[in-house]
Amino acid sequence: MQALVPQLTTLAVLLPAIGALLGALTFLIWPTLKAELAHGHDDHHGHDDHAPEAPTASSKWAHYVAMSLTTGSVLAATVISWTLFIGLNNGTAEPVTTHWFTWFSAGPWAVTFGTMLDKLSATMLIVVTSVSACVHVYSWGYMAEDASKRRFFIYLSAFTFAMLMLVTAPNLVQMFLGWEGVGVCSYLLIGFWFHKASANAAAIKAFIVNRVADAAMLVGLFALAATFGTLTYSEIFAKVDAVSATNSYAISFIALFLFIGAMGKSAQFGLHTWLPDAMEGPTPVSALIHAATMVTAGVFLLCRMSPLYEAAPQVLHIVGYVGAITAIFAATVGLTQTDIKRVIAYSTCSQLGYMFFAIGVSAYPAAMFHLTTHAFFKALLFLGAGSVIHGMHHEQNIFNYAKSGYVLRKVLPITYGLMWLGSLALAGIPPFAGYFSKDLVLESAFAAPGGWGLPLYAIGTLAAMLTAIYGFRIIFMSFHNKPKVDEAHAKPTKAKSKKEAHHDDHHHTPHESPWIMLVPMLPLAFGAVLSGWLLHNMGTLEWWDGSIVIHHAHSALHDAHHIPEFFKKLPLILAISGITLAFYLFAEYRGIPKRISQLLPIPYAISLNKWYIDEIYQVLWVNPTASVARFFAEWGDKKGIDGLLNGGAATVRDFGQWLRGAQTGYVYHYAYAMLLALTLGLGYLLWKTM
Amino acid sequence: MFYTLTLSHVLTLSALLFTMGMAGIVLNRRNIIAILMCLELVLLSVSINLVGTSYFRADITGQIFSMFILTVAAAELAIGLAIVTLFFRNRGTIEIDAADLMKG
Repeated sequence: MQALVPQLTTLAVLLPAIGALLGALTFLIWPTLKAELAHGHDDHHGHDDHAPEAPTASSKWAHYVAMSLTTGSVLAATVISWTLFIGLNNGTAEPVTTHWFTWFSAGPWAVTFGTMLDKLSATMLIVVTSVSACVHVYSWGYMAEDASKRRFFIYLSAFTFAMLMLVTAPNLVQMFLGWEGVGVCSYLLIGFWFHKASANAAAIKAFIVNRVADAAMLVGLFALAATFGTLTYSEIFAKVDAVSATNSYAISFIALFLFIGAMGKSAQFGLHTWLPDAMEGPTPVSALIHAATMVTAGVFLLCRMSPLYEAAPQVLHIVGYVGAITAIFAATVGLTQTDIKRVIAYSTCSQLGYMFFAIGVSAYPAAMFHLTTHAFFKALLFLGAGSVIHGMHHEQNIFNYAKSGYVLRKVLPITYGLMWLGSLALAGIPPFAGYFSKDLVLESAFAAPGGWGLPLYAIGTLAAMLTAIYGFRIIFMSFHNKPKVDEAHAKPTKAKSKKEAHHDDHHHTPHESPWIMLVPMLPLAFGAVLSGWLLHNMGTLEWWDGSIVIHHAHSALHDAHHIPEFFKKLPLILAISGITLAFYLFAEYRGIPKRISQLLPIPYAISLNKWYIDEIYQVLWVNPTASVARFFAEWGDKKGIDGLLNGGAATVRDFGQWLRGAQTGYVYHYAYAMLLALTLGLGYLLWKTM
Repeated sequence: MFYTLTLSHVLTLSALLFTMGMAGIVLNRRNIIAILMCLELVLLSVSINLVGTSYFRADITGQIFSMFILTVAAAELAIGLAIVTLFFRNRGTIEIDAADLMKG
């Protein structure tokens, strides 16, 4: 086994890239099809709005070849990843670093490519490949009617490759390449339905917000290279003690800027604005990139850099508070959003906040544990939401599910059940996965030395209750309708919707999703239910075999088990009461939330408008930037550069205009000119000879 | 009283004819036929030149040359007239100012 580990790691990383490349080769055999350029089906129109002409046999092949290649390669990578993970877990395999090739070297510097396999990267490997494999298979059903689905699959596999490179990189340069690679794929996939203006805007927003964070990250990387003289993890970690003794400010600086970079990717408060907008992408993308894998890259990076962060305790405080603010902020916003995907997006944001405040109290194992369980249940929730959206013909507003007049839990029984599992895991109810990891996070915060984590614990516990409320708000609002109540109270609405339905020729009855979509949700459901219990060793430092380092003074994780019993149970009590509350508010007495919103208009408006962050940024950054850009466009580009070139062109044109007068077109003018020239020429010769 | 015919008489006549021909081409504004006629005049002046110099230098080449010129001039005139005919058919006029397609 051990002899094969390096090759297997390399294979696991490269397989999705090979799949994506082979998939892209189908464009050589079957060039871009007409239908791929036309508007495919999108979220806001019925399936048959743009009924494509009957696909030809070859166009079908084009898609199925690419889809099979990408899906197959990712499935193979998943099998290999699990083999490696189980091998590492059972001790039959050892952590190993491989060297692929040297990219370039300059003096003592050498930037190399390779892989690094230890428990940390192995955990990320199984998370990324498992979710990616499920999403690939799920997309066979979800994207079945899309005209350019092969492009979708190629992007998905390319993303998987970039993410695997990010997590297995042995140095920060290769990690950063993967980091940017996932950014590009995220951009491409958010804007996959490129004919939708909102999708384009969201893609650009995601890219730009991440650029801001990446700029900070680059500063951190440069500082790191300048201070340590290397960007290879193992060499950095070996030098941390020596550098920290002489130059602890440098370490804090590096840690802070790397954290800002991580904040962007992981959508922490302040740089989170792109994540909810990213829901414009197809739902499988949301599940893979914006819930389970890419957004956790920041958490992974901080855990990977744990020896460095342990030497920068002030920065850890910042990390902790940013995480806590994100957790509570996103939870409050999640309470009032109406788009099913946006609620889950804010929930992701909130859960990422938990991971960061676990890191803040040095409980890296708790963060990684929560990352793993979260990947399963959040991907499950997203795929479940995708199944509802698919079944409801691209309706994403949970209030419209209520108005549709259908009882969704009867129409979509399997999806309903799976959503319950995911939501219970999210709310942290035992024995579901979220319970183990979230409680560990909160207990670690409580046990932080000196009690500085107590505010984090309080915020996190409150957010846990809100999580339960908004999590089950989705379930109860979407699935628990009472047709009778609808007829009695919502008759005008229903009549209206019927009228609209009549208006819209493409009205369909909701339907349960096909098996190709339900089956890939089963492994995720399995993970959502059991991963917390199966992988609970992840919550201990010992399990990580040195891939995570915690300073002995930062004993939060160690002391987490010794906190008072009441505070251990408090999150669970609040979560259960949150679910109960959600049941009464959103299933039984639906009038109450409206009354609350009328009684508390200001908190309601703040929550509904996402704390006005987007509006503040609009005034603070976007408008000034746009003004400056407009100034330079007007004076620099239009008046300056264009003026110069147009002025030159105009001069030449005017001269030509003047000169063309000589070209009269009359024969006798030419004859005259000839005569004149001849006479003058001859006269000159004559004069010369005389 | 008799004047002896000298080479300068011949050359003067030729120069006069040439100048008339050129003036006709350059100053004429009306008629393409007139241009062709003036062209003939220019060619004739050249022929006279050749014949004159040939006579006074006792060299027959110039006179043979002038025979060629007459032949070529006839052919050229035939082509020129054909073009003018076609031009008239297309434009309905043979005014020189109508032939301005080359105007820049």
